[in-house]
Amino acid sequence: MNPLIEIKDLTYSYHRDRRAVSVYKDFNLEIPDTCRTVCFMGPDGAGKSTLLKILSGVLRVNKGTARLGGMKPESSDPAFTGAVGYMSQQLGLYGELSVMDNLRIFSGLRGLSGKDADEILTKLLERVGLLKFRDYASDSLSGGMKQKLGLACAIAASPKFIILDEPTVGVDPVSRKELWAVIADYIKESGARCVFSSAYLEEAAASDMTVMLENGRIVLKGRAEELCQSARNRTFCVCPDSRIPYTPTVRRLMFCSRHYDVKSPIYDICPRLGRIDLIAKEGSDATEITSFIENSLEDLSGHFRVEKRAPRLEDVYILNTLDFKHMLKKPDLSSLSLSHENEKVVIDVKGICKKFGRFTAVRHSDFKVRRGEIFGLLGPNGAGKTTTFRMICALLTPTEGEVTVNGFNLRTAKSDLRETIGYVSQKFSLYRRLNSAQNLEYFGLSYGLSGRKLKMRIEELLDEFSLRAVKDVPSMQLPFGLQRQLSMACALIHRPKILFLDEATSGADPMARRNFWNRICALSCEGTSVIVTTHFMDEAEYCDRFLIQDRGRILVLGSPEEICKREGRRLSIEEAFVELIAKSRAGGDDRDV
Amino acid sequence: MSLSKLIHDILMILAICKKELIVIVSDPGTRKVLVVPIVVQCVIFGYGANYQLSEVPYVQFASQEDKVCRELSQRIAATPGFNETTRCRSLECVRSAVSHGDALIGLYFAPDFKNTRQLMIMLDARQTASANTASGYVQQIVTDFNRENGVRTPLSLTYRQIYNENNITRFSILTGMILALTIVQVVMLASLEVSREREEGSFDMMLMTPANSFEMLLGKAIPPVIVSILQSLTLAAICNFYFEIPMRGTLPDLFLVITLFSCACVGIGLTVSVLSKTSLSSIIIAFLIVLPSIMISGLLTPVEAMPDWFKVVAYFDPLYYGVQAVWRIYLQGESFMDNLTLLSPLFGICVVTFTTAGILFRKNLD
Repeated sequence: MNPLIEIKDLTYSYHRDRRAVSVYKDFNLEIPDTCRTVCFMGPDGAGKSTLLKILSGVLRVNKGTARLGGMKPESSDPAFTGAVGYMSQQLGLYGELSVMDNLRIFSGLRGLSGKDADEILTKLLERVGLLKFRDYASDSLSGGMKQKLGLACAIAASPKFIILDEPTVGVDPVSRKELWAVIADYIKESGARCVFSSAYLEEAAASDMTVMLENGRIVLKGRAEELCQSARNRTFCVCPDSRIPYTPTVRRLMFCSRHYDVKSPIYDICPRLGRIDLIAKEGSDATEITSFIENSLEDLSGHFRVEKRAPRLEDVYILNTLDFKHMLKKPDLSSLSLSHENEKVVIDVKGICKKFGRFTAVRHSDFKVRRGEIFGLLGPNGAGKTTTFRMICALLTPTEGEVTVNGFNLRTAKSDLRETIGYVSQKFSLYRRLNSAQNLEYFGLSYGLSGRKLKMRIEELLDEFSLRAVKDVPSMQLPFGLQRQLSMACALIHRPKILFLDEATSGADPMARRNFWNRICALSCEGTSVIVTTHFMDEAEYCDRFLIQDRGRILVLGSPEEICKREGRRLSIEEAFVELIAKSRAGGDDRDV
Repeated sequence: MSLSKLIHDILMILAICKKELIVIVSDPGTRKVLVVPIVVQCVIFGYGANYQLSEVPYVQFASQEDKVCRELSQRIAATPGFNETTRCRSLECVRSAVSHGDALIGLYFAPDFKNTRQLMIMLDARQTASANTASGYVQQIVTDFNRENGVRTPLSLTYRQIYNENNITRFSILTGMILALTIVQVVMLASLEVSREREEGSFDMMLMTPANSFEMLLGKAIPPVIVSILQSLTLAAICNFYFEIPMRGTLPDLFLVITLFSCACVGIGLTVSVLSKTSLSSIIIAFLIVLPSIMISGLLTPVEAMPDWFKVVAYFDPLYYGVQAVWRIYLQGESFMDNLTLLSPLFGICVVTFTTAGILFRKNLD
């Protein structure tokens, strides 16, 4: 039997501005045919997409060989293309064409035609849950549905190998479950092999083989259980008792890690399931960690215990990407309040509705965000999060109701109110032809900085967001990770008091997300209010409060503890989310969909 | 408004301008598009769009000897470029020479020429433009002849399409191009300014900044106006120095017309941009505006020759006013102030388009 993947001495580079950029050099990889699913993970720019493109015959190698199931990837060879289904990150759907037409085109290109074709495709649509939408233009579908259509296009012609490049990026947990059910069914029925990449480590952990790449090299390779062994003895958790408030404790503890304090035995901190998960220095034990925390945060003594916990793939990933080259600046925690209830209301959303024609995107939303609070908007794709978000930002006018920021409507507010706001939008939206420094300068000037003050702030941000090395590169040429950094830097240039982040971590790897949240929490400690939307449910653990929305309606609003406690048991946010959505949809309120 | 606030606002507008200019100039493709085509087009028009004929093959038939007839035919024969291909002895000969393309025009002195003093010109209708021009020459000759001889019953021609009386087509076409070539590029450029940002998502980012609609609009309008002025001045320089078309007016007057016209074009472009959802649709709309505006501007065809109801359409064309004013300033030496009344519609266009764009700027197309 041929190995599933066999790569020998692979070299691949591409040209940018007449300079060769090397992605792979003398790269070797072999994965046996016994693995049904293989996952590639790794930070931005690691070469995951490139590798998948090489395996699917989209890119040609400069040197060496790549084999998929013994076949040479060749996009002009019908025997190869007929056996492989490739789903790219951009999906490549034809936006103006209907769902069915897209499916016909892609399956037709892979050799599915004839009388039975439509019948097969109809069945497929039913399986991915898009039958109702078969005549909709694919552009009008929500993110999750588009992903499903992309997957359907990849498997329509029953390929022996499916190659999926981040099939679940930007997809809510419910749709993600559905997507994976389709993939699993397909693999089971057809005996096909699936090679994919993902930023969700639980997806990687569920696959037969996980390969972690970084800078074109293999960092880890193996089954998740084996890989987890390397983090054994280094994973702990802090269990705070009920007398101390959870979220403020998380926030204070976060600044005790090695990123802020060289002497700290704690390498990584992450809130999870009402506990605080830690990764410790090699050789540390629970006693050492306890005494370090008690020394740093005296008032916590006696209110928590440190326990060992089983390592997860995420811990291994973090350990392999940790980097203490840049120490972070500890925020001023003196004004951190344990409860936000007495703080000033910064954003007041009063009964807003938004209708697009006959479709109601948001119905009667009501909530307040206080000073220094991190507030999350969660919900499935198409739940109205972005619409709500844009209404708060005054980029859309509510059909009913009103949003005030510091007591004023943003649309008509004077410019000094808008000067207090920072905004990072869902997709990369800076000026692509401007380089990092120029983008920063433009936003700085727009937000009222100038002269020496602006120059110093730009210098500061270039360092803080590790953009100095690429400051002259046009932003469209930056890798996604650095684009995200730049977006964030631009949003923070004027030290806003209110920060809007619309899926700012979409597609980011766990380490990048850690850094992101460190920064957000530091900002909130200094009094900045932050509103975030995200598809990573675990990120909601960082929020003071969050809401879950579906079909434009708020289903629940509260702190992670309030939302996830069930008769003494603490659910993960993802579990709570899936449960709530299922319950609300079973309620059968389907009127406007 | 305090001084610091004012400085702050100006800095903000300048920041938007700078950003726009970088976007325009940083892309090597755009850079080429802004320079190469106008120079190439200008040269092509300079040589290609020339209605002057170097050679006019003709035939003639005179049914009787007459002093006037003889003198006129001698005069025509002596005109440079006029070349009698065959001496015809019958009207049939004239007709066939013209219809076979041996001659561009045929002259026919009828038997009763002595009484009617009417000269018939037969034109090769297949080459309308050239034939018209050639007959224009004849007309010129006849007019001169009449004037010099003071004939009591003046000679007349049997048709009246008098075209290109002053025989300097290159002058008028090229100087008109100073604005016409720029309108093409600047309306396109401006029409992309908002729609492209909307497509790339950065428009929201700009709306979130403290800048108000007026400031954003100003920041967006200034760079294409500058580009447009530079392009027009380049073309004027080519006209003056390369094609050696003497400029009778002053440069400041020309500059003022160009600036006013550029503002009108940018206003139109921005309005298109604000109204369209995608950059593709704004390019198409811009093209639909630009092409007809050149066709009916009076630059290539005289507005006077259009039917009356259609003239009304031409009077909405900014290029019509712009070209008229440039001609009057460049070729006739008038000043900007002399043309204020003529140019008032351009002020109107500026006001209307900028107001529309400003109002619609924050409107969402949902």
